[in-house]
Amino acid sequence: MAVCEYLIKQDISIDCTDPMGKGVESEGIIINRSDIDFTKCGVNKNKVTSIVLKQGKHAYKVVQGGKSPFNGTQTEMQQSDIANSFNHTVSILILDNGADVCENVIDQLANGQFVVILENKYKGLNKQDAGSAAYQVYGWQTGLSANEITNEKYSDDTKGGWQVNLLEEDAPKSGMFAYVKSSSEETTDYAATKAMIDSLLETA
Amino acid sequence: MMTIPEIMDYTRKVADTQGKLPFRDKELIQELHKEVLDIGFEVTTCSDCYRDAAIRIFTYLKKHGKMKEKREYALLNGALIQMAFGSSSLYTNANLTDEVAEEYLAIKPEKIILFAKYPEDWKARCSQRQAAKNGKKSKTSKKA
Repeated sequence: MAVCEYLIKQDISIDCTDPMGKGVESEGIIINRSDIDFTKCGVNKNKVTSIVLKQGKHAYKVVQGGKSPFNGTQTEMQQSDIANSFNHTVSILILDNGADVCENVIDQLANGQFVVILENKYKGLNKQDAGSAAYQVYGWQTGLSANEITNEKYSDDTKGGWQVNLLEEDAPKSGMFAYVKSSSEETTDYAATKAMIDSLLETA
Repeated sequence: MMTIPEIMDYTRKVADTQGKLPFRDKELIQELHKEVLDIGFEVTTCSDCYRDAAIRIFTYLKKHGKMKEKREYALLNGALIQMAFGSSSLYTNANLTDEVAEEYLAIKPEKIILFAKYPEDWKARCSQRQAAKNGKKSKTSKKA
């Protein structure tokens, strides 16, 4: 069995021509983890190079309003004697309620396992793998599951809607990113990745 | 069964409707989306999404004058095929055609696992298409 080496492989610097900006875009997608056909997916280190769903399955849109969509989404290192790991939290605000929302969304979120893909505002388009910072995948390694769901009727933050925190615990990697290398000169890697993400949402 | 002008009339009316859409309209938009665009439409609580769908249907019919041809091949969601390195072609379900699917499968038959739908005789069709393509190529090279 090989011993894993942990060695830094590049400078820690700032790209002055494409500086990093905070936050994520207002639309993300959520996938039931059991709908992913992992036998047909591809992973290369911190990149998820293909995500294929099982027959008849599709991802669902998560649309957030306001200036800080998915506010509360974060990654935090967890110390351990064997190997340090990461806890990834995805915060979703659901500005809706009712029998349909509770049955189709909240009750399922409370007990299921999920993968969420969010689009960072910073895409990393100047990187060698252009656009490889755009689509961050949460829940790929150990699965996202709910660790907090609240519905406060008089909350100013949620307007009486639902606040859901999904947690991916003890993930070995600090971040996973969807990234498709385009074989075409006319299509950028970012566009190819976006095409893959968009196709996850299609219904039959 | 509605005619194309009837569908265009109806979808324009739905797109112009203000406020909440009746359930029957929502159901019909879902059916028409599948019928015209050959792609499903997820049930949602958002009325604007149905109006957007009505606009998509109307725009497609206005541009093409006919419904989208029903395809015999469909990719699994998320599956993306690239024809060859250096080729400008990159396909998902949104732009896949039967011709592209058969050309691709003729070169990479093992990738049939990425398809959600395909005809039983796909191998024969792919061979035929490949043979026709090779025939065209050899004719062109003879002329040259």
